[in-house]
Amino acid sequence: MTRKIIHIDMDAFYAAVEQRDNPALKGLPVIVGGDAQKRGVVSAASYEARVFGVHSAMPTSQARRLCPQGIFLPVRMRRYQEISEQILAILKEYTPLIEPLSLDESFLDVTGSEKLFGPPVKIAREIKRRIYEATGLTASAGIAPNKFLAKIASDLKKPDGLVEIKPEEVQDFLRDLPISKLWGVGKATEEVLKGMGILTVGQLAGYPPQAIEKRLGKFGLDLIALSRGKDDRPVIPSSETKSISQEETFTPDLHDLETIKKFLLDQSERVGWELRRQRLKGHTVHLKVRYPDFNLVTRSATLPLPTDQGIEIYQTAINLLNKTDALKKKARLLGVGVSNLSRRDDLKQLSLFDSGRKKVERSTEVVDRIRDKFGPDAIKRASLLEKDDEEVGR
Amino acid sequence: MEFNINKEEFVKGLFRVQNIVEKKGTMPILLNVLLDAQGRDLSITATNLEVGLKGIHPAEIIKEGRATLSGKKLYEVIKELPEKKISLKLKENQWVEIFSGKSLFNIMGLSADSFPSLPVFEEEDFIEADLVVFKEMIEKTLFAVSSDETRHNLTGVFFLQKTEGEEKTLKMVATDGYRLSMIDRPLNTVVKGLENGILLPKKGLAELSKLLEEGGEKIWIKMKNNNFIVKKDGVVLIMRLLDSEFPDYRQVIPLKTKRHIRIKRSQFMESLKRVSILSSEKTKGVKFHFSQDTLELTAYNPELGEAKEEIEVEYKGEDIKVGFNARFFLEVLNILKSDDVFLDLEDGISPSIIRPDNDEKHTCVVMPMRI
Repeated sequence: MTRKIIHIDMDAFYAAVEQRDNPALKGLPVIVGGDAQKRGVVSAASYEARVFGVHSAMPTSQARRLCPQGIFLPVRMRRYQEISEQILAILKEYTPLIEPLSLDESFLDVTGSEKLFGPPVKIAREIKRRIYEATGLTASAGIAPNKFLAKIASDLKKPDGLVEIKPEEVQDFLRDLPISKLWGVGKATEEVLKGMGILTVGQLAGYPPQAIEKRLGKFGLDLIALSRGKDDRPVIPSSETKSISQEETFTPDLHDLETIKKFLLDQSERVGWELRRQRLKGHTVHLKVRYPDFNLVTRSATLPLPTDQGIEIYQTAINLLNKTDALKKKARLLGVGVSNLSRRDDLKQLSLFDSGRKKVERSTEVVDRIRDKFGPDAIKRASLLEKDDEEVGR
Repeated sequence: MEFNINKEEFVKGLFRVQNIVEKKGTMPILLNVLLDAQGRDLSITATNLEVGLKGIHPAEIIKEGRATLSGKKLYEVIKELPEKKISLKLKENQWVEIFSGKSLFNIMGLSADSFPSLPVFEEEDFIEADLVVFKEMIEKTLFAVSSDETRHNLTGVFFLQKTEGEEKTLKMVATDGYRLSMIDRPLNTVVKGLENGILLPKKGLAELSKLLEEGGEKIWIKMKNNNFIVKKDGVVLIMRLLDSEFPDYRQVIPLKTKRHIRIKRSQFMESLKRVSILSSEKTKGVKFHFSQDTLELTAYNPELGEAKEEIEVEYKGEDIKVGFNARFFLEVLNILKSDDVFLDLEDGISPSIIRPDNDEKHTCVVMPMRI
């Protein structure tokens, strides 16, 4: 049976919230992000700022050069969370199958909702209207038979867009799409495919799967499925969060220990932050390494007590690193995650001797408060500061 | 080697070493026991290089000599033999023939020359100690030892001899970082090498405890290099000390606390057992709410539901709520044999003390859980 998936994506969310809260900013180039002095990056740019070439994940210092007249504002995570929850409440009225990807975008599976609320286009239009009425913000919606296409569709007519890709239109739609639009294709994979003369999704779909598999491994087969419009991944409601993770693909491949350590620390800290934000703790730490030959290995270890501390996740990840060949073979992708999650509301066992651990937790609390106020990149470990701003951006 | 031995005696000797011989491993010889027939005795030796045990058993020696056989298989065979009298004979190429009544077994062994020898020690300087007391000390501390191999220094029991004026006491302390148990018992002879304390491995103490279960009145102990040696009639057990520094346990035992509570032990245990059924599987957290002469225990599990129970206690003071891991408490309450226990509390985040009402020399500390 054909599924009906809607992807709702808020337009320039953080910047739009700022403009809504302070109407004087309406029509002005608003740029929300970290401090340029501290190598911060842009988290969101209003459409007025995008005209100047400013986009998210760009170093704030660069944004200042491109758009000197921009209004630069710090990230107010708490506020965005509040509004995000308002939006989620609206979405929940149409289907229980909602998978939020972040504060500003969610997937909805409305396959079973048609009888109640009418066709998906009607649902999407109604959702957009109600979000606007409740928050004064615009959203773009994409409707398609699967998640991958719905996400692409929502991006096509931003801002305030609504695009539906019907099952019979899928092939035509994909043919000339650049491969970088495919899910999971970052700079590194794009290079590999371009090297093979593959520039569009249509070209990839027509390529012999064996040849792709040879270059990209199993991952290549997943890409071919996507390129043919096939994506069976279900919409997973967020209440079933089973794990929290971060991963990144690198060009060129990483091989020296210091750099690998830095990335693992950065990822571990992000995972720790996300755990604390969701009031979760993880018992099992996972390390994922993809070698240059595209083989993927994962290693995991279970801690004596569940943790939400980035530094503990990092230390475990480093131990796990020794169980891989990352240093010998180099790493194309690194990922850190935790699973075996429990609610933090559980009582927390205190320790007789670890006064050190208590100190770590107290300083983490302070760091989190700063991040809530000024954004995830407002404060970080000194060892992570040397990193290129481009890489730190999310 | 050739000898006849009584089945009961042989089974007893082999049973003792079942947990010492390795089940599998890179060194096949460690799966074996060493049988050594000399004079009028058969000695049975096993070692895993950390804990070694040698037992002497009366036997009718026909030909002196040594052999090694799989400790596990030999025990299984001997245990099942129908007759009282058992004969063993070493044949060519390390084959050993076992013969009893109408049963005949031939088992392949390994050369006794490759069996690792136990650390050598002199017979002098062994100090006599009370077996029952020693057994009690192990029993009341071993449960608190950590099983987390990454915290090496907590995987053993800290053992030392203290001298205060004329008084000398043996002290054992164990902790896993969340709870601690410490017991003192008098012993007025000096045991050399115990002044600064040693760290006895969990595994060695578990074997010793099993050995002491066999009964008797006295044991003899001695330190030699990095080994702790215990002798009991006809058996010697040697364990290698853990090479790690035990944390400063004194700093986590509060000397004075604000609140003192007296509780009926068995009632406390039963209530806690019931309530903890609904605590979270992972943390076993139970909330203790103390108010005037009352303790209310509650547990909550988002996937199951909640439980609540009230018990009478002796307490005069302000209301206080503290979280504890029910398992830590139950394990302590289980080994305290008194009618009542004292609970000394400071607040919800500092170490708390549990003591029996009849023994000032045994102190347990449990760290609370943050609510």
